[in-house]
Amino acid sequence: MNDPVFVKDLTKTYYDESRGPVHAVRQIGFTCSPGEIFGLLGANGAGKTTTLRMLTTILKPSAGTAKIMGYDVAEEPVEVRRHVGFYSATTALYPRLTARETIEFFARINGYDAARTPARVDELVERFGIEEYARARIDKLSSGMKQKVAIARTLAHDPPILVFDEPTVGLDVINALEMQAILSELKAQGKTILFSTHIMSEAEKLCDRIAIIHEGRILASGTLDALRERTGAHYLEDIFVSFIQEAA
Amino acid sequence: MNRAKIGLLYRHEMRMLLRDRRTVVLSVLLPLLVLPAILFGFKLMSEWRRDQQDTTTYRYAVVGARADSVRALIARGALLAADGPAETGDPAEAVDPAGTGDNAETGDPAEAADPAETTDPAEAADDDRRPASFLEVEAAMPDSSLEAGDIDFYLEALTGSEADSLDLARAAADTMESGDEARAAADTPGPGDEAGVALTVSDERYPGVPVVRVYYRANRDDSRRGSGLMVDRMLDARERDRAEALLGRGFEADPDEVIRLSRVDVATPEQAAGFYFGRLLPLLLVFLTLTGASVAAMDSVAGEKERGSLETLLTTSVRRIEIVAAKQLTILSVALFITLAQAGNLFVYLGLGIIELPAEMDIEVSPVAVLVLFALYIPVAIVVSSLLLLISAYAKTYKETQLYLLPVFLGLMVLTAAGLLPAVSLRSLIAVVPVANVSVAVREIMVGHYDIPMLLTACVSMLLAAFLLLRWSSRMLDKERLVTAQDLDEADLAGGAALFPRRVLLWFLGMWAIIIIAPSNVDALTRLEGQWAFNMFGIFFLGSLLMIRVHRLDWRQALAIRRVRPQVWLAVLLLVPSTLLTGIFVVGLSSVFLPFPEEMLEQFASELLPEDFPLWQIMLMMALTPGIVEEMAFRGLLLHGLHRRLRPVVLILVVGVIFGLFHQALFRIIPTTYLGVVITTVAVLTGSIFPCMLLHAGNNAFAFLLYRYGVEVETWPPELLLLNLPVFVFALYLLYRYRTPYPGLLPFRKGVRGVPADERSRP
Repeated sequence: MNDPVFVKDLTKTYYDESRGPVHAVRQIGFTCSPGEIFGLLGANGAGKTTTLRMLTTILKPSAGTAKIMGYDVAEEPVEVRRHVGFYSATTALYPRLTARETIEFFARINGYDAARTPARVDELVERFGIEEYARARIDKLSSGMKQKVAIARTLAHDPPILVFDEPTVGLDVINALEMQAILSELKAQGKTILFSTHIMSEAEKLCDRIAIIHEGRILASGTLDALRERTGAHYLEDIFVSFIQEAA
Repeated sequence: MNRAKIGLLYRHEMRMLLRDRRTVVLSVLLPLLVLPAILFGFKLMSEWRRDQQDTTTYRYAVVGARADSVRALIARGALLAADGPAETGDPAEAVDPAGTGDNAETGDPAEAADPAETTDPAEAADDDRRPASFLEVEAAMPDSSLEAGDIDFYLEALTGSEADSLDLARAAADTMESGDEARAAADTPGPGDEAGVALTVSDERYPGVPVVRVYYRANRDDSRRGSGLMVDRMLDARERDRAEALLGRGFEADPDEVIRLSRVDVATPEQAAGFYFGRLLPLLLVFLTLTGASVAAMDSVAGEKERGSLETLLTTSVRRIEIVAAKQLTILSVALFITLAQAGNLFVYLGLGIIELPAEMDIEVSPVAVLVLFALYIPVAIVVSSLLLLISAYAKTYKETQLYLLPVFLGLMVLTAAGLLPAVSLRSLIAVVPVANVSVAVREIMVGHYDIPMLLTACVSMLLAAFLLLRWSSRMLDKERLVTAQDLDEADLAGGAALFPRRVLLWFLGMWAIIIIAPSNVDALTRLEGQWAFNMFGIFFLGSLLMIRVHRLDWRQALAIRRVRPQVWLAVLLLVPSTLLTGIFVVGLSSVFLPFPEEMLEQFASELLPEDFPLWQIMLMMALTPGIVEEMAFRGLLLHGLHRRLRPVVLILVVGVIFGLFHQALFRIIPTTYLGVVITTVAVLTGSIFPCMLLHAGNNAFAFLLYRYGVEVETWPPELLLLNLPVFVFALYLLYRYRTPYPGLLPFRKGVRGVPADERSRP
């Protein structure tokens, strides 16, 4: 119960006025511990993004509970968001702010102490190597630079839990590797990291534990070795397919 | 709400706004330049026009057998014009022997308020001009010269017998349509024509009297003005001739002074000017606010959605309402800044004398009035910016916001135009209509009338409206369909029944438009029976069938064909009389606080059919048929289409209001909306159309019977109507107690996050 991320029977049913109920996520449950990378692995439309959006309170769960640092996502969404950094391909930056201003704004708006903010901004600017263009407006930056600023703004308020929704989608190999390196580094700092991907190798390489999600349900979860044991397959790709076939 | 966070967000919003050059230019700089440019343009135009007029020599021709006598009249008129005061279009002044008699009263307020001098700025501007100059030219073919612009007008002097025969010819021609524009124009009143009956052909003319006809073209300024001045001048001359003739034959006093008419305006000049200015001020202010704030509003939510930064903001630890509040403050700041800057701008230009206000706007506003006006403007700016924020929050993209902007713009302008309505006082229902109330209030304040309780009512209603709009906006940010454009939409592909909920309002809009437009364009429909048959069968019945067919709906579901419990029938029978009586009671009661027009009360029980129809026919036309076909449309298809989109209470109100809007006459809307609400409640509680049909038909029949037998329920004492209230409540209780709710309704309250009741338990 003291896990930084606690999810039980979490369900999301959209109600579309013409399609009727759409069950995007069905009674899923998992927990994450500090310093752990937990991966949600699934095809497009499996419910990964919906799950992460519920955990970051962009969407409200239809049923079930989810707690972040002990705060319920439905009851105390503001506290939840204060403890989470959310990164996704759809969360864009403000084009008319500079990199520094962006980091500063997100630190302050998430309740980071005003006196300590400048030091925090300096630290992130240095860590991500964006000193050179820290005072340029975001709309003048290349996509690789923007990505670094985006990660820096996710970390701005130093949240204990980080949620990365398909962080490497659309990145070139170099940038994707850089992203993976950052995730490992954050893990080493003791952050709890929840990330989703549909790329098997990425999950294999980074995750301490993996949950295979399909049509809104978690079919299996555990360490890679545990999953290997259960299916008898070696590669994650085969493991994944075997669970899907089992469910069908 | 966390004020520090709102402050932080507000500074952030303002910073981004100011960095966006496009927004700054469009919403701040452009309006600041446009208004002075427009005013300056007007000034240039009017100066140019005056110059033109001063130097214009009107060219005219005189034709006809009695041309010489006309020339003599013109010459005498010219002499008079040169001697007397400037031509003002007031013949009495022109012929008055200079400075005699009561004319010492020039400068009297009565004179200053003379409508000829003050109502029309264009006419007033003519006062200080020198006498117009005219030049007679030869024109063999005056019609074509006039058309070619060689002359501005021409006079045709007919002898008495010529005019007589022309009158006969005209009587014959009246049956045909004459294509000659110039001739037609000569008979329509122009400037100066109103007193000139003897100068133009009139039906009341004595046979044998000579006639002068002035031909001009109303589509040309010089022609209209020159001919008008000429007619005035000739009238003056003839007036003088007549006075001299009378005096010459021993008339003892100036014939003009036999009866002297004058109007005395007891309003102060400030009040008169305030009345004029007060009607325009709200329109100007709302227009400025809209133009200034709309660009900022569009950018603030829809723009952020499009750029993807809104989702980022939504993942931070601020509340939705804080985001909305900060954005609202930003838009409001822009609106206030623009309006104040415009006002300041105007004062600078006025102070420097670059722009002159017309005399009518030359008013002195007391500092108190300025303060009150500003205090009233703030709620207007809040409501307008909240409304803009709402559409920006509702739209998915910048472009979509622009689409919604036009109807919002027009709607606001219509509300603001309430100040132009004559005889609407703030002490009426208008006090609770947002924007319209301020518009009326401004007009009253500008004439020095401060109705404090109603001003406060207006402010409260405005702030309430703003609050509701803001809450609505913050809910929009919770709707992820609007926040992220990710959801697949299969309904568009599937079509048919799946698409019906989204199309149903469009169907009803179409039906409504046809009902409004058709009767005035189709002759057969102007008669009552024709219109009735068209509405009942052509619109409601056929429309319902068409919706079922086009959307491939299950007709039993769409029309709510379901059995009900027997107790329901008892309840409906009790509702038949008590719905009407309760309605009259409620409206009567509320008019203690806010006066309703009496017509509205009367409409509860009145019917539209003439009395000579036999009773069975009335019952068929007014009760049975609408009871069936209108119910098919409203409690059938409309309710079916909307029941999964709106929560029950809103659903009932919306169906009721749409039902009311289909009963076009203004004072029928409220009673029929009320009836619609009651019937829809029955439909929602019983899930069936049959009780609705009985109630609708029964209510109409009851109303008509009361009317036919002369029972004026609206004049009954309220205590008597109060007795009926328990019956009404009991009937509703019965319906609730034995309810079989409409299937698939959304839950009453938000608790279950939009999942309908029957889906709730399912995983």
